[in-house]
Amino acid sequence: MVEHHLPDEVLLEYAAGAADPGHALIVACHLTLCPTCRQTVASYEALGAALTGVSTAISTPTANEDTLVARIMAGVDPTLPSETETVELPSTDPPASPHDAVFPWPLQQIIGPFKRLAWRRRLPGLRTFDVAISGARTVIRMIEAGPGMKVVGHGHTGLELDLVLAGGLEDLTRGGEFERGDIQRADADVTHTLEVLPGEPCLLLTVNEGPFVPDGLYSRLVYRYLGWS
Amino acid sequence: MDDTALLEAIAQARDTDAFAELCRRYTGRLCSFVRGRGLDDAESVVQDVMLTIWRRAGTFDPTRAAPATWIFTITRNRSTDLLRKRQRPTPDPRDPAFVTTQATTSTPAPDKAAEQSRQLAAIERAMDELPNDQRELLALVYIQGTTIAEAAKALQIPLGTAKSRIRLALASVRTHLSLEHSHG
Ligand SMILES: [Zn+2]
Repeated sequence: MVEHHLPDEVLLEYAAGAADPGHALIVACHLTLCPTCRQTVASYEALGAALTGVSTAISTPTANEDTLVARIMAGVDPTLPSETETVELPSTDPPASPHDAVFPWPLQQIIGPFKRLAWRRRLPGLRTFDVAISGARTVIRMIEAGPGMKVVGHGHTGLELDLVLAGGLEDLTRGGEFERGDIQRADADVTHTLEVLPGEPCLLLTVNEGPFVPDGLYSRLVYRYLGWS
Repeated sequence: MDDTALLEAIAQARDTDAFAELCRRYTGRLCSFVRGRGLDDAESVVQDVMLTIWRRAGTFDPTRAAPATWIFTITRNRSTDLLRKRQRPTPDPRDPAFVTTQATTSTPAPDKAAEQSRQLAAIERAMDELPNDQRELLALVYIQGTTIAEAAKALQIPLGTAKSRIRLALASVRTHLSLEHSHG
């Protein structure tokens, strides 16, 4: 059961199609695992429809609106009777069968299945994989950290979002445990200490705001490991 | 004629003049909306949507939602479908990782269409009552497709202010939705 959710602003940007590609990815992965946020996003999408419907003043004119209307009219068949049945629109094609259920499908579409990920071993018990998405202004990274590893609070410039996909984290400062589906978030001014729960390694998808951020969760792990913090 | 009357004329009399008028009233706004959601070929999407409206005008129920809301909902569904097929990553219910709640699978399926229009009506009421500064900000995000940070810059307000306005707006929408829920 997911207990730690995404911030409203991030869900709103996603619903409006305005989210950074990195945020859109972490939202889609969290939504796969969280029915609550799925419902929230559906209502924010409806909000967009209502908003655009009532705001006549904010329309930007289309240059060749008359041409478009003419094109639409050309496609009208006046003899076609009006449908009265409520028909469900056809859904999209099913995905090619996923290889495993560790990575949610939106992530697997970009980096493939968990088992085949070409990890980079950074330190004993710590491996990472950088996710490249064109147009993203966020830093997107997969991290796997061994049980017992500690992450000490470290200042960073933007919002950091971490989605737990396996294993768990404990927040030693604020309390609370994070397991599969949970979002661990840290705002710019937050300093707190996390520890990977015993048992299996903790697998995370992390998204950091800002292009120059070297101080996300990964480097906090490294700093800690190297005794810098 | 108001939009409801136009839709009735389209549904009952298959009135092409009424349909042309409806197109003139909506295509510009629909194009902005579709473009704002990150789809470049807005005009062909809108063409497709308007032809759907021609076919399905008979399913419009004025007691459930305003014409604009109904039209924009069709447009939203169509663009969500396209976004799903294209760039925006979207959860897929056929994903083995997909999690459903116990509650939604064990309770009898509610009337989905009725539920959706109740939700839309609640959202419309919430939007009507929203202060202008909150509405302006939401409009930038939804229609121009800017992030909240970019919108804050455009409006020359601090990011924190923008975020709290967004939170207030969403909270009042949620209040309306839950009131609606307790009535239904
Ligand atoms: Zn959630």
